[in-house]
Amino acid sequence: MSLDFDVVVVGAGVAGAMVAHRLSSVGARVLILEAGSRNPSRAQMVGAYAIAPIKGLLHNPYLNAESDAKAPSPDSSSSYYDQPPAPHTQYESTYERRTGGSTWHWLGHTPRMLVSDFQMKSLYDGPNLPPAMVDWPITYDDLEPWYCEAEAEMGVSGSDEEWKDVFGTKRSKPFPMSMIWPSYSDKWIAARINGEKFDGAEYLVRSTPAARNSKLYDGRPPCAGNSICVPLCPIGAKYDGAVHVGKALEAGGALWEQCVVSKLDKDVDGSVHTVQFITYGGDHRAVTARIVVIAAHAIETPKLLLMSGLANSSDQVGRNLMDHLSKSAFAVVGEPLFPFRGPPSTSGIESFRDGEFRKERAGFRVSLDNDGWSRLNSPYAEILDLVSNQKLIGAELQSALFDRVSKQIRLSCSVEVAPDSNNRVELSTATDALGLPHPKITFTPPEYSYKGLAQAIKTFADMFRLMDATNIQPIDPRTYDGAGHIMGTCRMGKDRKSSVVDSDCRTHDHRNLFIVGSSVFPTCGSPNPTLTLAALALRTAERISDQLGAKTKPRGKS
Amino acid sequence: MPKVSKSKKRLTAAKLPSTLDDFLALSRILTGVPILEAGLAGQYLDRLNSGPLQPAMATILQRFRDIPPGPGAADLVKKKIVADDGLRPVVSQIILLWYTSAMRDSQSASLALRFGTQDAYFSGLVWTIIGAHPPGLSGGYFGHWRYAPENEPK
Repeated sequence: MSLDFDVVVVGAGVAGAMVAHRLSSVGARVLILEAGSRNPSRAQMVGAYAIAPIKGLLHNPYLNAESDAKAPSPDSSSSYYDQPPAPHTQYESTYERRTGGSTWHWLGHTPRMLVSDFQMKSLYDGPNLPPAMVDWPITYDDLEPWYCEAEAEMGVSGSDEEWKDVFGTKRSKPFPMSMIWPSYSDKWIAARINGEKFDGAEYLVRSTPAARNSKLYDGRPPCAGNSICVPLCPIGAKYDGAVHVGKALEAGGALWEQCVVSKLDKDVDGSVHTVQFITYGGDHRAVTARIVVIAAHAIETPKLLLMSGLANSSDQVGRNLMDHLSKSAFAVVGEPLFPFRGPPSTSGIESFRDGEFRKERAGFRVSLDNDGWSRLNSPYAEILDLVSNQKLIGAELQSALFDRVSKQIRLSCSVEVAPDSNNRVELSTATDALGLPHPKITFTPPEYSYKGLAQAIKTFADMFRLMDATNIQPIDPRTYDGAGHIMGTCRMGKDRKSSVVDSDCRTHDHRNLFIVGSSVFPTCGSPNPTLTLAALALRTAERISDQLGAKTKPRGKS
Repeated sequence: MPKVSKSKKRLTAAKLPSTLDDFLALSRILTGVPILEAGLAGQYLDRLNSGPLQPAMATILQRFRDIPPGPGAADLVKKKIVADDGLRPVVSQIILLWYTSAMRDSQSASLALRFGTQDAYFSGLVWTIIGAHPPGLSGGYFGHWRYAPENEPK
C-alpha cells in the first residue's frame, strides 16, 4: 500500500509542531494539517490590538472572518461551546485555531509538574480523594530529561537557585536562560511576606520560569516588557508554536493550512491511515500516512475521535475535562508599585502546591501580577470617575490618577481541578459552516477543587494583611475564571479499559494513532500545562521515530 | 502704507482664533500636559464633532473663548465648563481621548470604548502619567520593570 506521508499531524499548535519538527528532522515525510492559518500577521495583530475596543478579549487581534467562519473556536464565538447556560457552572477556558495554536495568547509560564503530581493516588488516596485521581503511568523522573529538552526547544528563562528543589522536584540541567527579572512590585511584596507562614507553609516569592527570552535566543529578541503577553507578544520574545512550525518546514515538513480534519478512517486491521479533511472552499479530500498524530488540543482532539468513532473502547474519550480554577484578588497598598510595566506576571508562590492537605482539597499556585486593576477596567474607568465625579482636571487629575492606579495590586491563583468522568466533551447537534459538530461541554468543578479555591482566597487575605493593604475587593468563593489550561479528555494510563492512550501517548486501540497535547493528562496538579505537554510531545516523537524504524533516515544520509 | 497694511494683516491673521488652536489650548488645561500634538488634536476634534457631542463641544469652545488667557484661565475653565453638569461628560470625553485615545459610546454603566488610530493609541498620555507605557509598546530594555520608572512623577 502506497501512502502519501510517513506521518500526518492534525494541528499546528506547540505539540503538533514539535512532533513534526522532530520527525521531519530525522527524515520522515511529515504533513501538518491545520484548520486555521497564519494570518493575520504579528504586525497586523499589534495594530488590531491597539484599536480593539476591549483589550482583554483574547480573540480581538486574531479576528479573521474566513477562519472564524470555517474553523470557529470558543475564542471566536461565544456560542461555540454547547453548554448549559449560567447559572449552571461553565467551562470558561478557550483556545485559538490558528497556525501556532493557543500559544499565541498564552502567558508563557513554564513551571514543571511536581513529583507528587504524577502520583496522586499513591500518595493521597483516601475517602476524600476524588475517585478519578490516579497515578500517571510515568513518573517525574521518566519525564525529567524531556522537560530539559522542552525548555531548550522553547527557550525557558528561570532561576536555577530558586528552582533547584521545589517539593523534591529536582532539575538535571540548568535553565537555558537566566530568569525573567522580578518586577518592582514582586520585590516589594517579597520583602513583606517572605519567611512568614500561613497554614503551615512558608511564603517564598520565586521568579516564575517562562518561555520568554531574557536574552537573544534562537533568533528571537529578549523580552522588552511590552505587557501584553496575553493576547500576543508584539516582538516574538515569547515562544509560540509557530516557531516550531517554521522549524518543521525548514526540516522538510509540509503544512497545509485551512484544512479542517473531519474524520479518521480505520482499516480492517484496526490501524488508522486515512485522514479526511474539508478545505475552506468545501472540497472533501483525504491523505494517507503510516502514522497519524492528533494534536488538536483537549477539545478538538476528543471531538475528532468521537466524530470518527475511534480509540474509545474504554469510553474515556472526552471524559475528565479539566482546567485550573483561576481567581483574582484586588487591593490597594500604601505606596506606588508601578503596575502596567513588564510582563503581566513575573513571580509567584509555589508553597501551597503540595502537602498532606491534598487528601482533602486541591493545591494551588499563587501569581503576583503586574497589571494593577486592569481586569476591573482601570485605568479607563478611573479617569472617568476622577473627572466626572470628583471634577478634577490638569495637574490635580494627574496626581490623583497616579496616586490611585500606581498603588493597585492584583494576586491570582490557579487551583488544581480533580478529574471527574462526568466533566466531558461530547458532540453537539449544533454544527458549524462546514457541517461539523460543535463540542458539547459539561463541566462542574469538584468540591475538592472548590475547597482549594476557598483556601487560596484565605491565602490572598493573609497576604494582603501582611502588606497592610486596603480597599480589598470582595471575592466570591463559588465563582471562578478559566485559566486557559484545557486538559484531560484522552487520559493516559496503563489499563486500556480505563484510559485512551498508553504511556507513549499511543492509543490503546490503534497502534499507529497517537495523541499529543494536554488532553492526555490523567491529572493536572496546579502548574501551567504547556511545558509538560511539550515534554510529552517530544518524548512521543521519539517513540514514533522508533516505530517508523529503519525506513526513516536522517536526510542526506543513507 | 501698503507695507504697514500688510503687516497688520499678518498680525490679525495670527491672532484669529481657530477652533483647533482653541481646542489645543483648552486641552492643555484639561489634561495638565503642556505640549500636545496638533495632529492628534485634529483627529480628536473631528471625532468629538462627528456625533451627538457636537453641540456641547460648540458650547464648551465658545465658553473657553470667553475666558481671558492667563494664569487664572484654569480656574475659570473649572467654574465655567467643568462645573457644568451638562458639559462635564464631554469634558470627561476630551480628557479620555487625550489620555487613552478612546471614546465612550454611551454613558451606560458598562464601559464600552471605541479607539481611533493605532498611532493615537500608542500616544495615550495616561501611561506616562502613571509611570508606565502603552501596553504593547514599552520602548524599554529587558528588565526595566525591576526598577521604579524613570518617568515617575515627582
